[in-house]
Amino acid sequence: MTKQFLITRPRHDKETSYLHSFSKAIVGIVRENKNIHLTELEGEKANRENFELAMHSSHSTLAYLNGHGDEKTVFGHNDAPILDDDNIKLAREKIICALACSSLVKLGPLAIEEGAKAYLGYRDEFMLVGDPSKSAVPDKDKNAAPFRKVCHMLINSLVSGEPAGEAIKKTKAEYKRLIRSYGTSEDDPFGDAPAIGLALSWDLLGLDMVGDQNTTF
Amino acid sequence: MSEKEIYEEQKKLVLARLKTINPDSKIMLGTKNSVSVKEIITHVEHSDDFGKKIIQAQINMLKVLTE
Repeated sequence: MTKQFLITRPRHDKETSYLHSFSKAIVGIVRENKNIHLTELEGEKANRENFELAMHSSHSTLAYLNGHGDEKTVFGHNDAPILDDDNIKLAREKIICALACSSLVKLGPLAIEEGAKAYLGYRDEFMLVGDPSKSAVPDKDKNAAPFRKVCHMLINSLVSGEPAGEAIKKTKAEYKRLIRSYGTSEDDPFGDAPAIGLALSWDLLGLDMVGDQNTTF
Repeated sequence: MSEKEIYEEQKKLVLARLKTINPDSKIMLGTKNSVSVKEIITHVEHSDDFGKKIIQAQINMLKVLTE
């Protein structure tokens, strides 16, 4: 069966611009993979109508949602809801990975109740540390590099066909490695390294999944 | 040591560490807010929900560092 990688990439504010930047690499990787059909909903295309149309596909789908979120909703362009309890049935038989705040709390379990294979995401707000002087060009923000790395590791692991539980495990291990790297920067008390370590630790506590740990894309 | 005493010790430890960080460093939150280290310290001092989560995250970081 053909695989479909569906990605939403709004970029209407500072936070979504960072997530948009973080997902650039995975879009490039999938675009080069002839076995995977890429459906990219970027900018204003990241809306509910386009999302629902793509989710109606019968292809084996991994949906990677980037945007703002809360416990019950993931949002798209201009913070309009794209996935919530009204259309969560579309998650049936699919793997959902949400780089959005808090949606693992209620939307994730609801997705599993409705037949999703797995839902990976965060139980709390997603934190990141950026360099204020680079916020207009997130691609060049070195402070954001560790957050980019863990976000890419999770989705790349899923795209590569690793089991969902293994993707979470690997990503948590990478979080820990980065915390060791940034959290001990005692020679950088007036830089951002200790704050980066704190934010990584916060995100590590929030990352988790519900559903089948052994499911693969 | 009671749970409350443990919490108070953790709070002291976390505050001591946070006070070594540049107070103007800012952390972006997904809910469209940025919070400075100075503001984080206030949350921890007040032991509000966000402050308590910060304590958990900082203690978790220390555990990772000593693993």
